[in-house]
Amino acid sequence: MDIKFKIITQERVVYDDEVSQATIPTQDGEITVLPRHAPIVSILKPGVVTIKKNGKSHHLSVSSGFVEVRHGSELVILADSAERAEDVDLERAQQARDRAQKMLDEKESLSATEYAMVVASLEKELARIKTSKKWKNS
Amino acid sequence: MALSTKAIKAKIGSVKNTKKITKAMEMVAASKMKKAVDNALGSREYAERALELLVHISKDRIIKHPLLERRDERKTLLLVIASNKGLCGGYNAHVRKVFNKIVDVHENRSETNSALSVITVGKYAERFAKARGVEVVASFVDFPDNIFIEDITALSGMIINEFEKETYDSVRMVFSHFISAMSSNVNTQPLLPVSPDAIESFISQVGGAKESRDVVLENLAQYRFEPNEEEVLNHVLPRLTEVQIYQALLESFAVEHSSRMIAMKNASESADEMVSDLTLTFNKARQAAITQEITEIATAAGAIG
Repeated sequence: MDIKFKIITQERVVYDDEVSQATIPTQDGEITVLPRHAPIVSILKPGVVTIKKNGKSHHLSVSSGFVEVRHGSELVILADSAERAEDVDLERAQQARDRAQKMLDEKESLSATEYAMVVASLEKELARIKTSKKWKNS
Repeated sequence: MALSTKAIKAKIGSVKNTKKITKAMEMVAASKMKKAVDNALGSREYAERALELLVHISKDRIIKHPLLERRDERKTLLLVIASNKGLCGGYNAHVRKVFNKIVDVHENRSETNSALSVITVGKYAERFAKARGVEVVASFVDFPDNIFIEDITALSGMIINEFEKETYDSVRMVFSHFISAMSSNVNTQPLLPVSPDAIESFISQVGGAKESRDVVLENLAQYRFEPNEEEVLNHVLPRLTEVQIYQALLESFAVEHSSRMIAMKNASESADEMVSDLTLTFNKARQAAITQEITEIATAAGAIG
């Protein structure tokens, strides 16, 4: 039995497939969802989602959002943004990270909201880089 | 007569050129409309799921959150969406009509010292809000055609912030709702405080009211929330508000482009008609000129002979 797995962003459905297991970064730590997992709602942390399908691993980068496991082995991730490892442009992601890091270093000039936004974008870019590297090594 | 045929010919040429332009604008508008509708439908699933989460959490439980809080409607904020550019038929006029009605209703009960402010999207909206003398808090005029959720964080963040700070007691949106390429209407949708019923009716209409999933209410006793319900709610509510604003924008864009497409289509058809009229006039003038010339030659030949 497989899990019905979906990643949805505010713009589109990024991933919609059946997988055998999924490992997801949440605020309280990483969780691995197998078929017949108990219903749960949790908050997603920017990071790498690893799914297993037919014995093969795939990686996706996600930013913040929610994870919902439903009855009947249904797993839905509502993410602010999500990307498949294949689609991540490593060079651009690294540039974006450097930019965010630089802004963070000059943080005295940032307001609280700006600071939070920069940290969020830094986390997101780090997750993208990690995902892309994982994919390249596998 | 030779001069008038020349003038008519020039006129036909210019009408044909105009038609080329309107035809091109029609095609561009058609492709932009399709994109906007696709995007609106693409973001619908997120809105549905987030709403389901909210309904799940709010069922059998009294929840408190600043974005859910109902207050006396003293200060209302209106988000009015119209276009930046003209040449789109009655699109802006329709929005304006609904907007004016709301302002009228508001002014009729103004003795209760309630205040109305607006945030406008599009130069046209800004213009007609100012014409009514309503306070324009902010005006957004530079949204790209292919709009992403990141593009609207300034707008949605401002709305959510101001509501939380109690600058406004309720927020409503006036936007164009896309039914099909040929028909649309202007809707007024309550945005804040968040109300699950209003959201549900909103979502079901998105993108021309195609088939929609029912919001499923599962047995929640078995649901676990990590770290807790409040934390999840803190994340869900702003996102849900954002996605609604996003969808309203996309729908309005779709309507704008479809109105433009139809306006341009009509213009192209009128140009065709004009060209055929002018061609007829041109042929008549040409024939008259020839007849006249022959008559002149015949008369001259007669005079000599």
